[in-house]
Amino acid sequence: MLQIRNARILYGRAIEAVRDVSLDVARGRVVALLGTNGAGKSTILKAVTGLLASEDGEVVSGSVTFEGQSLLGQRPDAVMRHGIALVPEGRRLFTKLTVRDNLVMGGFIRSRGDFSAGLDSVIALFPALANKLDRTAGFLSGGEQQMVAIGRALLSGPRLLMLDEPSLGLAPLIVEEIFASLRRLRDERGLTILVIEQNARLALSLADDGYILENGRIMLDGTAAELAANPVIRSLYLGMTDGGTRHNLRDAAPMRQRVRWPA
Amino acid sequence: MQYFADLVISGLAIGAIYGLIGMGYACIYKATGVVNFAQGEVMMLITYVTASLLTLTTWPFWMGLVLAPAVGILVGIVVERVVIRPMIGRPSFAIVMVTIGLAVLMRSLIVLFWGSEPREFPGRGSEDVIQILGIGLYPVQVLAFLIFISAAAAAWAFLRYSRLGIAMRATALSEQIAMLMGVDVRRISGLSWAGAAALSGLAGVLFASAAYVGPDLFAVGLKAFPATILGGLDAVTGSAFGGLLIGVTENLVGGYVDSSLKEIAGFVVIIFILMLRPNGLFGDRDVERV
Ligand SMILES: Nc1ncnc2c1ncn2[C@@H]1O[C@H](COP(=O)(O)OP(=O)(O)OP(=O)(O)O)[C@@H](O)[C@H]1O
Ligand SMILES: [Mg+2]
Repeated sequence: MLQIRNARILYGRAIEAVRDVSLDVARGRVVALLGTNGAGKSTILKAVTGLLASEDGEVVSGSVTFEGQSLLGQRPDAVMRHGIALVPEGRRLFTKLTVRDNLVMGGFIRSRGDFSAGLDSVIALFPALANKLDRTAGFLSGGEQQMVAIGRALLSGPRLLMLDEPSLGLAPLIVEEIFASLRRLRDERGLTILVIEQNARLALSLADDGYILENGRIMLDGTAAELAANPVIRSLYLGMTDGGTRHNLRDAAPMRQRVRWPA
Repeated sequence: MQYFADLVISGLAIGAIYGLIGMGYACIYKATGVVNFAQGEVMMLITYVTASLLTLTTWPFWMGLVLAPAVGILVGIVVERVVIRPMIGRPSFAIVMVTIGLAVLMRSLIVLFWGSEPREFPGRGSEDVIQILGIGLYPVQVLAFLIFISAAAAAWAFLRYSRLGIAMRATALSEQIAMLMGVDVRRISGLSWAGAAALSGLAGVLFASAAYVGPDLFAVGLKAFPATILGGLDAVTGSAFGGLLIGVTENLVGGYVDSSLKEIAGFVVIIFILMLRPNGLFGDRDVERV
C-alpha cells in the first residue's frame, strides 16, 4: 500500500535527517517504526503527508508511493484525500476549538451523513469523549486529547492511519487503552496502520511488522515476532538482557541483509 | 439628556460603519495573521466602482447595497490572488509591508481614474429625518445599523457553525494541521479577503451615501482600525462591537469635550484599553495545557 524506496531527506538543503530508508506498509498490516530520538521517524511521516515542504524539507532522492501513485510534491490536503491520515506527534489538536469542532475538521472532506456516522463510531471507540464534545479541546487531559486526535484522524475515513508516538507523555494505563483501541481498529475494520513508537515493547505487541531506524537508516526489519526475539533488540529496545552480553546495533547486521532495494 | 442620546445614537450609526470595516480587519488577520493596511483603500475602490455602476445603470440606491458586496468579493479575490498569494510563506511583516504599498498604489490609481473631485453618491436615498424614540435619524443611519447587526450575526454564525467557518478558525490556529484535514489554506486566505472586502464595501457605500465619494474615503478605514484593536484583532464579532464603542466614544468626546479631539478619540481609547488588556476586549488568550 505505502512504499518508500531509498528515500534521502534533507532539511534546508543541508541537514540530512534521513539517509536511506526503504519501507513497506502492506494492506491490512500494522507496521511499527522504532528508533531513538532524532532517528528521523517523524521526518519520514512528514515526507508521506507532504508537510515536509512547510518545514523547508525535501525528499532529494528515492520515492514515496501510495497504491502505486507518487506522493512526492503533493500538498498535504491532496495527500490526505488518497486516504492517508496522520495523528501527529504531540497530538496537535486545535486547542481553542471544541472537541466537536476538532472532529468536524477531521471530517472536513466527508459528506454530512458520513460525518455523523463516523462520529458515532468514534464515540463507540472512545466512550470517554461522549460527554466532552462541547469542551475546549485544550483543556482535556492528555489521554482524552490523544483520543480526540485519533478520532479526528479516523473521521477523514482513512485507509492508512499513521500515528506518531501516540504514547508520548501518557500514563501507562491510558497508553494501554489507546493501544487496545488501535487493536480494535485493526481487528474490526481491517485498518492499515503505521505507528511510530519509542516504546518498543508496546509497539511490537501490536504490530505485524517492524522497522528499526537509526541515524536516518533502517538498521533492521522483520516481523514483529522476529524483532522481539532478536537478542540485540531485546537488549537495546526492550531492556532485556540475555546472559549479560552487551549488544550493539552493528551486531544485528546479518539481519539487515533482508533490506536490499536496488537504488 | 436629549443631546446625550443624540450623540450616542449617531455614534452607533458611524460605529456600525467602523464595525463593518473592523470585522474585515479581523477576518483577514485571523485567517492569515496579516494586518491589511489597505483595507480603507479597498473600501474606497469598491465604493467608487459601485457608484459608477449605479450612475451607469441608473439603478436605485438600494441596488448599491447588493452591488457593493458583490464587487467587494471580486476585488478581494483579485487582490488576494495577485498581491497576497505570491507572498504566502513569507514573514507576516513582509506581507504587511506589501499591503501598505498596495494602499498607496490604490489611492493614486483611484485619483488617476476618477479624479480628485468629491462627488455625490448616486441616488443617495431619502433625506427625510425619521423619528425613533424622539430622536431624529437619517434613514441611512438606521440602514447602516441594521446592516451592521445582520452582518455581525451572519459572521458569527458562519464562524461558529458552518464547516468552512470552523475551517477558517482551525487554519488560524494551525495551518499545517488544517492542511492535514484536507483544507486548502490558499482558499481560506482568498475567502478571508473576499469576506473582508465585501464587509468594507458595504461600509463604504453606507458612509459615502451619508457623506460623499471622495479620494479621502480611505481615512474611514484607518479610523476603524482602533475598533478592531479594541475588540481584538483576531475576534471578528468582537471587532464589530469595538466599532460601536469607538463610534460612540468619538461622538461623545466630540460633543462634550472638543470637536477637534473627535478624530483621535478612538486612538486614545485603544491606548488605555491595550494597557489593561493587551489582546483587546475579546481577543484570544492562549489555551495551553501540556
Ligand atoms: N524542521 C526541521 N528543520 C531542521 N531539522 C529538522 C527539522 N525537523 C527535524 N529535524 C532534524 O532531523 C532529524 C530527525 O528528526 P525527526 O523529528 O524526524 O526525529 P524523530 O525520530 O521523530 O525523533 P523523536 O523521537 O525525538 O520525535 C533530527 O536531527 C532533527 O534535528
Ligand atoms: Mg518524532
